[in-house]
Amino acid sequence: MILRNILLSAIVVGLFSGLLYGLFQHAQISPIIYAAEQYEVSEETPATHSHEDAKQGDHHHDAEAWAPEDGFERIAYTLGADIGIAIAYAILMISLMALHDLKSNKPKLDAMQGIAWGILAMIIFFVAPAMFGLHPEVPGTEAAALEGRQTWWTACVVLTAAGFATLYYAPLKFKAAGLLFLALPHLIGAPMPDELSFANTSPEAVSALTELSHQFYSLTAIGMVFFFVLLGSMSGFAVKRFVKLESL
Amino acid sequence: MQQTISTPQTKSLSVSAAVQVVSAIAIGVAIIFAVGFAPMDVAHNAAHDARHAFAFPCH
Repeated sequence: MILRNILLSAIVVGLFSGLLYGLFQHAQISPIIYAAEQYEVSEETPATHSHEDAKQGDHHHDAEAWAPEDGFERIAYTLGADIGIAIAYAILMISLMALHDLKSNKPKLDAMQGIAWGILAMIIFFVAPAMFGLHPEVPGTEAAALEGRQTWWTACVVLTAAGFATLYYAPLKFKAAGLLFLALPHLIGAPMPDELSFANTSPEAVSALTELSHQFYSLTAIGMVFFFVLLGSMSGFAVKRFVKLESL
Repeated sequence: MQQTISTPQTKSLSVSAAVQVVSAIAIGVAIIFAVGFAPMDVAHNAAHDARHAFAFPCH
């Protein structure tokens, strides 16, 4: 049963890679998020709940909405969410690898080629949408409206993946279309504010948040490299070892 | 559907394999959107730090 084997493999791969990334986040990334939150402007005053700033994507939440308590509960939910995202990425990775092994006449995949797939996945899910588009942000950063950014992110990921797939699998005369797919989201351009700015405009907050943004940017990038290389190599191993396509 | 594996109709089986792979992809996409993109405050607050760490659009 291919579906079951893909899901079980992905759960193992995602648990392992997501847990490692979660621990890295706990040690290196979350402290930056917590530090940035110290500068978040208070949303207690009713005036900030008006919708006049809504198009700036203000960070205003329903005061009554549940949120995990700071400390153990918040760390546990973050770890759980990291693992959840990692399992989802592992499902996509192993499924697409299985599709490759099933349908293409290219060499079958293993852990070594999985590393290359992992690096491509990092470009698809992190470098193209985040480093070339919507930069990784600390809380309190002013950004364009959320829905527009989510739509652009999704389009960028899909087009970048389609671009690489076209470059790799399509006949020679169609490969140029792959370059077009890769370039298109950046030609359209991510919905961005005019310049890096923060909800808290006091000078010390701006300089602290700018510094935190740079740290956040570098550390997520380092973490993502390790995460995706691990995810790719484990997925390549899993698709060769556990997703039994050749028995069909 | 894999029980018919001993019959010579391998063609219909390979279609079934592709359907299973595509179903898995749909499950993966659904999880990413639930954890990373769901707009409800509760989902956002629970996954907030992870969304930032994976550089998903947040807030």
